Amino acid sequence: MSRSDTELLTQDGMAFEYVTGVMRGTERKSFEAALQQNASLQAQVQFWEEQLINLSDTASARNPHPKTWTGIEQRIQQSLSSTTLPSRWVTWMGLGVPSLLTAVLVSCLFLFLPQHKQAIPNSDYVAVLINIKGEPLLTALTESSNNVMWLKWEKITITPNKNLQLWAISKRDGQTRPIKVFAQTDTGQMALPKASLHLVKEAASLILTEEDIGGSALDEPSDIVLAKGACVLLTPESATNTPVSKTI
Amino acid sequence: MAANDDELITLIARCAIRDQQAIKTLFELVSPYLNSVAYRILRCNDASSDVLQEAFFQIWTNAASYRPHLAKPLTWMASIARYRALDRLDHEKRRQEKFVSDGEEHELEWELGNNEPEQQMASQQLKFYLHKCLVTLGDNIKHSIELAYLQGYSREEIAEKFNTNTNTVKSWLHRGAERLRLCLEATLNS
Repeated sequence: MSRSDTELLTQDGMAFEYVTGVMRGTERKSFEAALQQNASLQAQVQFWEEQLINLSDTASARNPHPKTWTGIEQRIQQSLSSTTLPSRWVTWMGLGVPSLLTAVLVSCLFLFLPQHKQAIPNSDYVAVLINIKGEPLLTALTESSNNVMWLKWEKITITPNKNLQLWAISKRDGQTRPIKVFAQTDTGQMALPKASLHLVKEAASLILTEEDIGGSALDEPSDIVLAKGACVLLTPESATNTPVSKTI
Repeated sequence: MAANDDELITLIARCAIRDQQAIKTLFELVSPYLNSVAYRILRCNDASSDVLQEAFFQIWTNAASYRPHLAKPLTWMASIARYRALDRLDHEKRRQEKFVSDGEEHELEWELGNNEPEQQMASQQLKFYLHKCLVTLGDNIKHSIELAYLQGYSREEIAEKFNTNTNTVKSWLHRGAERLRLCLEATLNS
């Protein structure tokens, strides 16, 4: 057995201890910190979570105290109405929250029904990019089965000699990576290379920036961020949820 | 629990776009199960209620980061509830009464769930595979895993239960994990 095999087995044993719950205190905290940085460890934890849940009976039920929901509701309301949030972006998102769901639904219907008389595409990821006033500027949907991104633009005035650029901010490493440059806001549908689709799937959010013609020369977004929106999965992907992790 | 995976995934996605009705529906559907998970570990109604609040708030907050191709929705939510229950357990360090509990040291359940037939059958099959593999590990390892996962026993508590030391328990669990994975993968791939 090679050293790396041994390491993986040890790592798997730790993942198992973490999921079973015997790992406690500082050991648990250290493991959780390592987990954030280690994809193979995450896969091992996911494997054990998916397997060991079969130890419990998902039909077992114990009704919670009636006040439990009230407590949850209050916490959610507090989080939504908080005015002392740390990030400008979070505040920005907060402003958009009340209209966000409506914006998604309305945008989807508005975008797809008139142009494509049939059903809404089998979209999987959606991001409603809103400006600092909470107004939606762009709705982006991906249809990964056909490697397509659908776009619904609101009224955006592009500064002369400037382009717009769409970026994905990775959920995994926080890096911002380019998806597409737009000279006009008339693109309703575009082919999305697999690499870009992967960026969207892995994205915590998408942002739209103003850049020089041709897009950012530095491959980094400018400070002129027009809109931002969380990237949300709408429907499950096919061929998913394999019960056994492929990584051992 | 009467919801299927697709329904739960959709509700989580709606939480991600801050649809408060979605989190309420999710609560109605899965809170009895998640509460049973938390209660089995904590054995205290107040504590499991607090944990449930924490868990649902975390589900709401982290909904956008949920990825169905990485975890089934119930697994994702149950893991959140279990980990918050374990945090609470760590915090309170109240476990002395566990082994002389009120006779509620539950028999492990292998009953059929209450969801859709197809899902029910798949779930039952996975339970069967897991049970079959656990049996091959021997009584001590099997029982240690069950006590840890279902009732929140620590290594020390398992060691005390089996009148051994924590290093032995650690060794049981690591060996158990290795053999269990091999067995599960062989079974699921066959």
